[in-house]
Amino acid sequence: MRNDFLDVYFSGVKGRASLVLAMLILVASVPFSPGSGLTFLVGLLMIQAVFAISFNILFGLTGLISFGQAAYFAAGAYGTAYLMQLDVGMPFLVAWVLGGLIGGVFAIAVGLVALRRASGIYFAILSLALGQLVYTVIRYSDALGRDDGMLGIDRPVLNFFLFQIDLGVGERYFYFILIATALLVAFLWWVWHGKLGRVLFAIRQDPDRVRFLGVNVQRYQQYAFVIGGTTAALAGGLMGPWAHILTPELAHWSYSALPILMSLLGGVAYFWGPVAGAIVFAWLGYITRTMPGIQELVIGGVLLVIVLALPGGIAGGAARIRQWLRRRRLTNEKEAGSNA
Amino acid sequence: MLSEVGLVVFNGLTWGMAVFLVAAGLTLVFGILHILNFSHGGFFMIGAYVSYQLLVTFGGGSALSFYLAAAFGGGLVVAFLGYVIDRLVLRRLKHVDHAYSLIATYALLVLCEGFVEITWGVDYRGMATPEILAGASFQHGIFMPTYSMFVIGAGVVLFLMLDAWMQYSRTGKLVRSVAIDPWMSGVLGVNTVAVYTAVVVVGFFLAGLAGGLLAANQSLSPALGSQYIIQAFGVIIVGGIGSVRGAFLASVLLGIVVALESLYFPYYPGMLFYLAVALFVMFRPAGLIKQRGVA
Amino acid sequence: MLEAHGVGFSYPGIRVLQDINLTVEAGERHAIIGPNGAGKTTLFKVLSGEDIAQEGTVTYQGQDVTRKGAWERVKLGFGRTFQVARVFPEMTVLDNMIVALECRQRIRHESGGPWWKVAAGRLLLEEARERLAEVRLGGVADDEAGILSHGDKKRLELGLSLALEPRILLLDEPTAGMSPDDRKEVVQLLKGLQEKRDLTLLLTEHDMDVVFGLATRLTVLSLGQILASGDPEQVRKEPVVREVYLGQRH
Repeated sequence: MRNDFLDVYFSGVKGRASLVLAMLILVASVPFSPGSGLTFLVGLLMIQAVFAISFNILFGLTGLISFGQAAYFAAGAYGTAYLMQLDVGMPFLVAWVLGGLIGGVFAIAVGLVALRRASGIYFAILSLALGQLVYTVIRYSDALGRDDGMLGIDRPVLNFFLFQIDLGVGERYFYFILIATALLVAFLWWVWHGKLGRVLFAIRQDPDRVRFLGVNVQRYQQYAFVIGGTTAALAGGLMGPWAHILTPELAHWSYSALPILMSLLGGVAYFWGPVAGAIVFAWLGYITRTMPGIQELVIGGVLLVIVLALPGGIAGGAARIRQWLRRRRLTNEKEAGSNA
Repeated sequence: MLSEVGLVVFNGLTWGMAVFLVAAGLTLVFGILHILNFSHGGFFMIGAYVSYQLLVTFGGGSALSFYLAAAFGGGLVVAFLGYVIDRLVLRRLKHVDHAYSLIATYALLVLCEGFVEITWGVDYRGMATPEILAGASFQHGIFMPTYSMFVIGAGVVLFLMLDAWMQYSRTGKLVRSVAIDPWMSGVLGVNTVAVYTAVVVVGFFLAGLAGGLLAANQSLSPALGSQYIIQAFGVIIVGGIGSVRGAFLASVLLGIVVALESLYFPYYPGMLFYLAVALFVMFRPAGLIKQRGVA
Repeated sequence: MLEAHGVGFSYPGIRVLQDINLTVEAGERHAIIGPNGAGKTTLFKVLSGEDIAQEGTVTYQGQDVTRKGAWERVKLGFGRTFQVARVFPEMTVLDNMIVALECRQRIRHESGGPWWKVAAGRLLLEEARERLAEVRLGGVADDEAGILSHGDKKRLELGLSLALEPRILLLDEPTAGMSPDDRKEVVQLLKGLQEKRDLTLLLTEHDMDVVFGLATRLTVLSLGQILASGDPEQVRKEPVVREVYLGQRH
């Protein structure tokens, strides 16, 4: 089922629009809450949620297990920050888009190599190995700050010629992240639910059958790769000015595990699954932040339970509960009917 | 020139045998369960910490025999953990999609890190190199740390023992027959489940042993678990997954690649390794030595 | 229409096909029969592009397609079903059909409505429902395809292949695993479709009633070689065929 688990509760265009609006308002009110720590975490969460969906376009929708998603994210983050720090007066939005393109181009290259031959575990390892190339380049390039990372990345000023918006003022950059990630999520939602998403979902289920419907499967997998890589890179591009610092860990393969964890936790078969996973994951991380070790035990344990016992994740579990409730209601109605 | 060749060979072998120590158990487990086990790195790390703890607790001093005994102890503890993990997790992954089983073993790796952080904390721990291995010799213009020679020796000895076991012993042949055709072996009366468990226990023992043997080579930290595992993955994939001989050959080969890189192209350490692995997967996905019965 | 010249194919250590010369004329219902292991499925793979012939050539309407992959041949007018029906189990029956129709749009470079539209257009939906009715699946359009019965899956797969409006349809055992009644129904369905749509059919089949009820031409394959080919009734009478194949069964 490639549907939203939210559909049942908020069916129809109106219901869905009101839900989205409610979510946006909720997030937009975060900076007004006491304590600035939460604002930073929610900003980070939005970025990571897009990162997670970008992975799930590959995994949940197309059936490709990429273990190198961090490389695109980091390529976008470092690319954007590097272009911002160049002394050529490049507008931030241009730097951001170019950073996304760097990730996209790298994804094309990896896709050309990895999709050609490899499948299954080999594909995972190949995407991991190629992703580590980015990590290596970042760690050992002076221009990218080596192991120390890139420091002191400022919040940019948006220049619209007629007027300027300084995102360094107040929590303006938070709202910029909100708008940017909302646009990215909208785009990914469109991909997931549209004509392209349908054929990608078909490819995940049976690539041979799709070949015999006249589709060049490899090319469409490549499309998924480019979309996943570019959106991950665009999400990464938002990261530098938000955290003021980028470190090579963003490109390490263990960071690639983050969107995998989030997607599995939320439910890979659902568009909003990775978002739900990202929220729960952030919450788990938050309550265990002062307990080194416990955090890993909780996260590893939850993940293991999901793989072994709850492959549908949170969304899948919700769908099952819903089915169970419906079945119970139906039997109740039947009984009521037979009693009457 | 000659000394450069010698240097490359020596450094390559040092790198290669260290990775082979880790990869040997990994490839055994993959050969029979067809699970690529991320957590092998985690149990390698636990083996290192346990050996460290044994030496600290029993005050073994710096004698080589104590060091080896501690590594062996680390192996035994991890072997026991392997038995438990096999029962609780690995056995259930046999019919799970490969992408999910990969993720499950990653979850185990995270659990290992959590366990180590809770038990030993996040600070670095150091382990003294046994006195006899602490020195170095300078021959033919090559600087050769004694400890490196010890690692090379350990790798070669382990390979010879494993290979002899797999090729000539009755149990080794049994393992190979189950790896190639579990169904047929079952029909012929082999207790395949027992063989699976035994191989997992041996594989985990090797992980723990490797942890102990290599512990003196590095500072111990919870990040150790993800340090060697990618190199080991590369080695067993290039070698042909499931093949001990292949893993040995690939260790040497990739070790030479890494040593050449650090001598002539030291700007991006590790780059050539990843490129070599990627090229192998692309053009020779079956690896150096193709195993029968490995899908 | 579809021709094989000297086609050979081997798996490591086993020679599966040897010097196959086969001609499928336009408008035929051509059945390939042969005992298990004769190489029928491999021949099918080589003709449809799932595997590439190692020797010889395959031509389609005079064009050499030997090295063309499955999807390229489908673009030229091939359709294919599998021995064990393959559909998209996690989608509804209707969505299965929509995916197939959208694939046809891609092949023909037709627009499926405004590019930003998420849902399939009204026309496409109507056609999807019509086509499902044609293969008698109108009643289960909203069920998930994974829970369909074996026979329904077979018909859905046939419907998906037909949605691309192929010129030649390759059916690998279209009635495998069906009850005798279902088989008769499929024979009628195929005959009707073939006459209505100007199709050429190439099929493998085990069931002799289906073969003789449907085929206008019959080719017998044994041990990777063609034993006889021609009018079904004549082929049936050939002694060598009776000995090798029909003799075993009757």
